[in-house]
Amino acid sequence: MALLLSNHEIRGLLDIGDYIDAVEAGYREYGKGAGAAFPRKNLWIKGEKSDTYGGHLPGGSKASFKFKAGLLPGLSGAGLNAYTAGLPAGVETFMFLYDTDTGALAAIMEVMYLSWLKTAAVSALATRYLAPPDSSVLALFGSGRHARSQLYGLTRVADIQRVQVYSRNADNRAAFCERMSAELELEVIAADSRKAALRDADIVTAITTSPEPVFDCEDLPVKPLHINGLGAHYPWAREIDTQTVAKSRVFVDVLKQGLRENGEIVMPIEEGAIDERHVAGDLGALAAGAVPARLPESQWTLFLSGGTGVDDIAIATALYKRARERGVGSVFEFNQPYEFEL
Amino acid sequence: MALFLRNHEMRGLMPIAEYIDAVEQGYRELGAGEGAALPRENLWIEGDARESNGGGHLRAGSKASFKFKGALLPGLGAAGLNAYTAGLPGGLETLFFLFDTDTGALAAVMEVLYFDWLKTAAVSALATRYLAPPKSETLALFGTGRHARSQLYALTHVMKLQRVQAYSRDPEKRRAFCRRMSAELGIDVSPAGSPAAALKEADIVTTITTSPEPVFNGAALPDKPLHINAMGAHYPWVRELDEYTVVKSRVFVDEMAQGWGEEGELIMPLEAGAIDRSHVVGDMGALATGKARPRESDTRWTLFLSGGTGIEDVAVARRLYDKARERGIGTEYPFNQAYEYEL
Repeated sequence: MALLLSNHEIRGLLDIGDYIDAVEAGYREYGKGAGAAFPRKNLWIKGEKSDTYGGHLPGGSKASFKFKAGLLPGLSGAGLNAYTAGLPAGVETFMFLYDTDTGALAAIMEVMYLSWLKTAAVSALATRYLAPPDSSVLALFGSGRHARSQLYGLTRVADIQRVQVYSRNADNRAAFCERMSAELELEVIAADSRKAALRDADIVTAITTSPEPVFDCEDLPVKPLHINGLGAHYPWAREIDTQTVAKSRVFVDVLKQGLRENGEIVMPIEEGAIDERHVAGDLGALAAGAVPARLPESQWTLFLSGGTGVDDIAIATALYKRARERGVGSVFEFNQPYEFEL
Repeated sequence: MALFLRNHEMRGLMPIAEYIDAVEQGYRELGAGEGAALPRENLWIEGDARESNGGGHLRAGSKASFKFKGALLPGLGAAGLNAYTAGLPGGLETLFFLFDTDTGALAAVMEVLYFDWLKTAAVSALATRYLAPPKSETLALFGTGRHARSQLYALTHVMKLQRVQAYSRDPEKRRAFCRRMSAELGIDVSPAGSPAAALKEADIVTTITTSPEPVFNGAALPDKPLHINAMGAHYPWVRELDEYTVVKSRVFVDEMAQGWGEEGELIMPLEAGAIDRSHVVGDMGALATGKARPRESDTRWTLFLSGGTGIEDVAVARRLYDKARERGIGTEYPFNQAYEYEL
C-alpha cells in the first residue's frame, strides 16, 4: 500500500511552523550521524532542442534528469527526489519515500508545493540559529513565489518589522510589496536599488534565479547580520559575490553537497580567495549543536542552501504521517500476488 | 498520467528475446556515449536490531540498507531510478521510476522483481552471445533458485544448449530443479555431485547464487575456451569466483564504474595486488558497440561480471512501458492536478 499525494492534497496538511520543526528534526538526526544524504546528481541530456530553461545550465546542455536522496532511520524514512528540468513538461518532480522500519514504499509525492514551503523552512531554521538577536529588518532579493514563502517562514523565527524588497522588475516588486504588506500586516516596501534594500538590514535573503551576484559586498551594513543564499545551485552560478563570502562565517545545508554545487563556494575556491575550511559547518552540525553558530567576533554569517535529501526526507515523513492520520491522498495497492513464471 | 505497473501485470508483456534486445539497445546507447549511468548507491541503516534479516550480503554492523541506481538514455527517451530497501521485514521492496526525457514527465512507476528476474537473465545471455566460444553446448550452472531458471530460459535463446550440469548446496533442490528444467526445456539438465563434476567439459559456466565465497575452485575449470557469467553477489566484500579464475580470464563487467565499485571478484584481487585496473578489458557498452574485442586469438577463458545496472533497468522499463501502453495494461494515475502556491 503506497500513498499517492498530489500537490493540491499536500497544501494545508502542515503549518509552516511544522515544516520548520520537521526540517530541524531531520538535520538533528543527520548532525548526530544517524542519517545519510546523497548529494544532488545531474545527468545532462545533450542535443535537446528545448529552450524552456533559464540561465542555470552549462553551455550546450539544455535539459537534465536530477536526483538526490536521504536516509533518516530515526524518522523511519529514506527516499529519492527525482526530477527533470528544461523539458516541455517544466520541472516534473517527485518524492519516492520508503519506510525504513518495514522496508516498504510508503508514498509517492509531488514535490512542487511542499518544496515551496520546505525551502522557506530551511532558511528560517538557519536564520533562527544564525541571525543576530533582535533582528527586525530584512533585505529580500527576489519577489517570486519563493520570496513569499520565505516571508511566511522568516516571520516565524524573527520579529520582522520591515522588509526591503529588490527585484529587477519594478512592477513585480511593487505588486509583491502590496500583497505581502496586506497579508502579513507589516511594512514591506519596494527598494529602488540593491543598495537601498540593504540599508540597516539584520537579515538578507537572496531567492532569485540570477546566475550572478545580486548585490555588492560594499553595500552590506558593517554590523552583525545574517545572509541566506537560496537561489541558484550550480557551480557556475552564484547570487553572492566572493568578497561577501570571504568576509562571512559560512554554513551550508549538507557539507558534501554544498561544497560541490554552490557557485558561491566553488568560484572563490577556484579564485584562491578561500579554501574548503572556510565553511564552518552545515545545518546538521548547527542542529546537533556540534558547531558554534556565531563567534564573538562574527559580523556576517552566510547560509547557502540548494535543498537536500535530509530536508526532503524530514518533510516527506512528516507529511506522510499527517496525510495518513487525515485520510488524505490515494492508496495504491502494490504487492499483488504474482509468480516467477514465463 | 503516470502508469502504475505491478509484477503480475508485467508477466507475459514481452518475450525474453525482447528483454535481450532491449538490454543490447541500452548498452549500445551507453557505449556510443549517448547515456549516463549512476552506479548503485547503498545508504546503510545502522544499529538495526533485526539480526534475522541480515543475510550474508550486508556489511558487518549494518543490518539493512536503502539502495538505488539510475541511468539516462536520451536515445530511448528515458531516464529513471531503481530504488529498493534490503534486509528489512518487508523483504526486497523494489520499484522503478521511469521518466520520459522527451516530455520530462514521470511516465511510470513499476514494480521490479518480476522484470528483474528476466532482465538479469537477458544480460548474461547477451554477454554469452558476445563472449562464449562458438558451438558452446554444455553449461555448468551454479545455483538452482528462481534466477537459475530464468538464466536457462535466456541462454537457450543465444546458443544451442544441449546439456546443463547443475550444482547447488542442497541436493534436494538441485534434483527438483533438474527434473523440472529437463521437462520444461526438453534437454539434459542433470544434477552434479560436486562443483568439479559440474565444470566437466563446460563451455559456459554461470554462477547465480547468494554465496559470499567462491562456489568452485578455479583450478577445476577445463583447460579449453569457455565463458563464465558471474551473476550473483555484488558487494566489495563478497565474491562467487576465486582470484585464480579472475586472474586467468579475459574480464568484462556490465558497466565500468559500477563494476569496479562493487564486484568483490575484482576488488579483492585488486587489493591483493593480483590484478590492476587494466585487467578489465571493457564493459557491455564497449562490447555492444564493438569498441572492445570479445576474444583474442589466444583467449581461453572469458569472464563477465554483473550486478545489474541502471542502463538495463531503463532500457527494459522503457520497452515494457511501451508494450503496456499499447495493450492498455496497468493503472493510470492523474498526477499534475491544479494547485496553488497559497498557505
